[in-house]
Amino acid sequence: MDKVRFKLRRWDPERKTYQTSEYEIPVRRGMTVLDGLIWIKENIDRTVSYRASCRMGLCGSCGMVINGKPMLACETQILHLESNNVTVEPLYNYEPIKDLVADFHQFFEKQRTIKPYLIREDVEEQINPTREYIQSPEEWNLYIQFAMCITCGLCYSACPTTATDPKYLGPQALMNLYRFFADSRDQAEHLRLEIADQVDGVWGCHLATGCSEVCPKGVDPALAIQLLRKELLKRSLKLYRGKKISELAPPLPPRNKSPYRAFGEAPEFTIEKAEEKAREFNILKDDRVR
Amino acid sequence: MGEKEGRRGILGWIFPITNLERLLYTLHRITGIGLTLYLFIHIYETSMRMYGYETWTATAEFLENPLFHFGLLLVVLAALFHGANGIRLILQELGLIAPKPTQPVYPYRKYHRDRKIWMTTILMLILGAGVAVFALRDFLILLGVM
Amino acid sequence: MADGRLRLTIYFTGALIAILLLIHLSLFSFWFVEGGYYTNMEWENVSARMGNILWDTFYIILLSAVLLHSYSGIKGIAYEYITSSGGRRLIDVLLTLIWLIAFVYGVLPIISG
Repeated sequence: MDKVRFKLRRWDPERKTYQTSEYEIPVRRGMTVLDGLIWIKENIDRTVSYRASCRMGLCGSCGMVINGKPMLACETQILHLESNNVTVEPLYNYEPIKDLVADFHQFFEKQRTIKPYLIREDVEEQINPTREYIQSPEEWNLYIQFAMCITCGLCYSACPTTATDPKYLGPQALMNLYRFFADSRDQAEHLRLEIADQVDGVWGCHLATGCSEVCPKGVDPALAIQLLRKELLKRSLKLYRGKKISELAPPLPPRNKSPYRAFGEAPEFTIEKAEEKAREFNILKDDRVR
Repeated sequence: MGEKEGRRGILGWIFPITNLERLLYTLHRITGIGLTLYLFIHIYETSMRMYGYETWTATAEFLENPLFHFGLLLVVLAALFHGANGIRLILQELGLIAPKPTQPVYPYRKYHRDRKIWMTTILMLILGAGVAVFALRDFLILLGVM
Repeated sequence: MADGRLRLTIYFTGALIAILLLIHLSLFSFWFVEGGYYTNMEWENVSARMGNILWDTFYIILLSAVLLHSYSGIKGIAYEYITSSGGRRLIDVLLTLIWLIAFVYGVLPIISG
């Protein structure tokens, strides 16, 4: 069993400084950095604070800077780091709360400003939905990559513009903006382009693509920002034609005009018939369905 | 410097270096600032021409110096990098060579460059390096090596 | 694309500079010009070029493009660092002033013949 030295760069909220704590922990194959932190909390130091929840890369809580790169602690195996020293820091470009816990207040504040919900003209239908909107697999493919985001916030840590500009919307918010822009069910395309077209919006990005590199879900925010710029360019050259908007699904055909009629009338279902069928195929042991 | 609300400040413009484009971004910014400084020096230096033949010749002789020649080489190399990378950025940033979004499949890829992006990046770097060969030979002559 | 103007200026002038600067640099090159750098720095040759209206236009376009490009670039960088609207206005005024002076200094030796 290997021993690995964990160096935690911990924020002390009372003294408002960082301090480093070192722990030596035994490592087994398959053990993640999050497992290491849990081991430290259980066996050595109970004051260590970190945020984690699902431990399988779904909730996006355990983003940390591990050996200088933003990663999810639960998806990073200690032995895969191939180093006897593991440095864990709170995520960059966030206000730290305590130890490794970062404050996501601004992150979600920015996400809110881009209106991350479907905006439609038929408001009444949205409040009291009667039917679903029709969307083809091709239209779904336009945005599904960007809908995979788990808001772990690693992209903000890798982004150079976010490092100094608190107004910059950031990779996640812009990516989310494109996700709703590209969704055929959304009708607020011009509003969304207006939000993107700011010095601190799309034009703050310099294509360092660190955001896409560190994304644990393969979302590629840099691509979304490029696509937004493409639409803005098209719009300024008066080439923007608008996108296809999903319509409400047509009402279902009445029951007696079932589309399945072509295959003959469906047999009426009764318990007796089912029991008979079951007996026929020797499924029932005690001659009873219930 | 500039560390507001836990932000990294100017240090965060350089680190973490996660991938190629991140490094090119840093180099682009550094060469850009350097070239701007050189531009001001260059404008000052050429403005000497206004004061007539003597001043101009004196300036030319003052610049006749291996140290300045080496500095000029650095400036030309920086300009070539900045230009070649800049053309890549124009094409890529405006989404002109952007790939179509695709549904990510596990295991998720790191930053995905499709063939168009790779070709542009490599082509531009080769183009920049190719012109740099011309520049290098010239400066070897200037330095009296060739 | 109101707020994108800064970046679009960078793109357009950048593409222009890429072409013009190659011509500018090749004048200094021993590959293309006999005597290269030394010939180019001679008073007579410089004066001959500055007396030519085509070269004058070329240099004024190059100078304007380079100054616009660097102005937009430095402003973009400064905007990332200074984010308050008052600070940004100050940057606008300061940079415009510096770059105007640079333009005057750059253009005078070209048009002085």
